[in-house]
Amino acid sequence: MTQYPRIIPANDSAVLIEFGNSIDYEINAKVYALQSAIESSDLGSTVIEFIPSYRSLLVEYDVTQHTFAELHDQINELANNVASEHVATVDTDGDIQQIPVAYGGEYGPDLETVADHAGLSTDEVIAIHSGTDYHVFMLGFAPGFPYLGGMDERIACPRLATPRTLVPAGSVGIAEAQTGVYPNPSPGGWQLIGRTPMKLFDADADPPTAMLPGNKVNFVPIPYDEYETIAKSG
Amino acid sequence: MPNENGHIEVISPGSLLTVQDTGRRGSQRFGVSVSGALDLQAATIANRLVGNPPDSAMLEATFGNATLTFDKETKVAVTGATSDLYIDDFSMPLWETLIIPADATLSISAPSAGLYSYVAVAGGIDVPKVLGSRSTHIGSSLGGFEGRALSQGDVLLIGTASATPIRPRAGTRAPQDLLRACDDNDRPVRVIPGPQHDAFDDEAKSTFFSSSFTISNVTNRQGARLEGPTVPAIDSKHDIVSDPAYMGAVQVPSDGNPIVLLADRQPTGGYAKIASVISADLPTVVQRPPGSEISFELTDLNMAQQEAKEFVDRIHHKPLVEPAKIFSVNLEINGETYNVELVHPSSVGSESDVEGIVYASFGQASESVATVESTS
Repeated sequence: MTQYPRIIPANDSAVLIEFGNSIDYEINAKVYALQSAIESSDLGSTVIEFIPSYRSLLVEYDVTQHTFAELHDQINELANNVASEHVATVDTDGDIQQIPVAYGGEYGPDLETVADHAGLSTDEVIAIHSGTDYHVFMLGFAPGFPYLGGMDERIACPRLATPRTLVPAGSVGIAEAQTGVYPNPSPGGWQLIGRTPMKLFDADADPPTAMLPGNKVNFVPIPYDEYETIAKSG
Repeated sequence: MPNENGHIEVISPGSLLTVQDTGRRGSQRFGVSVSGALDLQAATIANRLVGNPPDSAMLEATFGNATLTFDKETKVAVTGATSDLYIDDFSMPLWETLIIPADATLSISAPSAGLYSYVAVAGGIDVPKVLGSRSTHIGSSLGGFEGRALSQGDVLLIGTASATPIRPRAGTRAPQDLLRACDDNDRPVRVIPGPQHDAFDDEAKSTFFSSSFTISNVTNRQGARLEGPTVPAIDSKHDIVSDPAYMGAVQVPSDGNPIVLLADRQPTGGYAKIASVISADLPTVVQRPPGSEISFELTDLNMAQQEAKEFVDRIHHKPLVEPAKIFSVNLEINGETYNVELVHPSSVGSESDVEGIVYASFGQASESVATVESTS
């Protein structure tokens, strides 16, 4: 059995710390706890970049300043502290970010497909999808693209047989038991159930993404005219 | 106010011409790719040759065939792939500080070796910084010139990147061992074991390390795709829980064909990584055009880190070679004495028959340019 936390060199200037090998709230919370611990330690200034993921943290560092051997002991101590502590899996701030979504119609062309597949009405799909708090496990794939956890499996639905060549920005989709939002226009095969007028990625903003890794989000149904109002003001 | 530093107009972009610097750092956690110059050795040397700070933006041309015009006299350097370089009709050397006259045309031929060429100009390319970098990431339409590859007719402003204390004179060259590391393509690329090397059994690892692979035609800035014997994971478990990705990671998707992740990679990925290319060998990987052979050799982490340190030190600090003088005279003008040196970039060690562009250096004050026809 692999012992966690596991601290391994990724390449000659990055170290990977794994807390497990599955998609799990507790493991994911430890990833962010370790990132904070390293940031506030004396190693913080030597880090070039962090990449947090579901179950591991990549720390890229300046190889002219540090060797893996030098970093290993310090990171090992911090990682073991984090691993042995109870890390809160719910935002202690209590902030659940509200993402307004216009469901169905032109913005959610696959809502009926998802409802048919689930044997539910479209209103029930909307109620289930918007009635859950989602955990942002990580951002990846594309700027601001969130990997969300916590979708009710009753509304799970296979991907489109033929992916769309262009999915508009803000589209909210379902693929198998996952839900997500496309921050930017891109090709994609997810079943689209709605669209948010919120700008989810803005390179000029700090931070550049509306959803932040480790946070909780919630989708709030809005009527189409409110979508237009928010989109215009945004 | 007119731009004092001039403009570059794209006459021909070749197959892919983009603005790049050393990459967009610190935003991968938001899903933003690093991008940046693929061959950091050639890019770093190009900036040094024109006296720019290391993070100044330049142009990266893919497989040459790029033509640019400059409206003002400008210091330039072209490094990277081995191509024929011309300023107007004059053949000019790569890896050397050049001065392009006003309204002259710089053209880079298709390379005879290598894939990416770097065109650095004194002052850098002036495009807005996005998340701290001027690099173009085409996949997400971020940075560079309007977030896209350059097209014919695009006009770029030359920037005012603060010059370093070292101001290379025309004719300054990169020392021989800083030129393309990729001329030794026969040498195996050195790797250390990747985070998921345990996903592969001894037979698969033996296949990976003993085989020669071919760089595929679909290779791009995101990754070098390899063709050859397949490298199967144990129980076909190529998919992993999405994990951080990084430059030089060798990941193996379920078709068994390895991919070396490069500058435009996504920050996270879901395939097992069998190996990681050491940073000192990355230039030789990125400069291999489609159809080239590549093989891998295991090295240890200590060696990789030592090599990485020496690589960074070499590309940033190894002294450049001063230009050779053709002649030097003292001129007295209005009671002031000026030392005038004529240097010729491609005539080093050759006889007196000079054809091409001649640089006159007026002490430390300024530089100007003249063209000389062959006398033979």
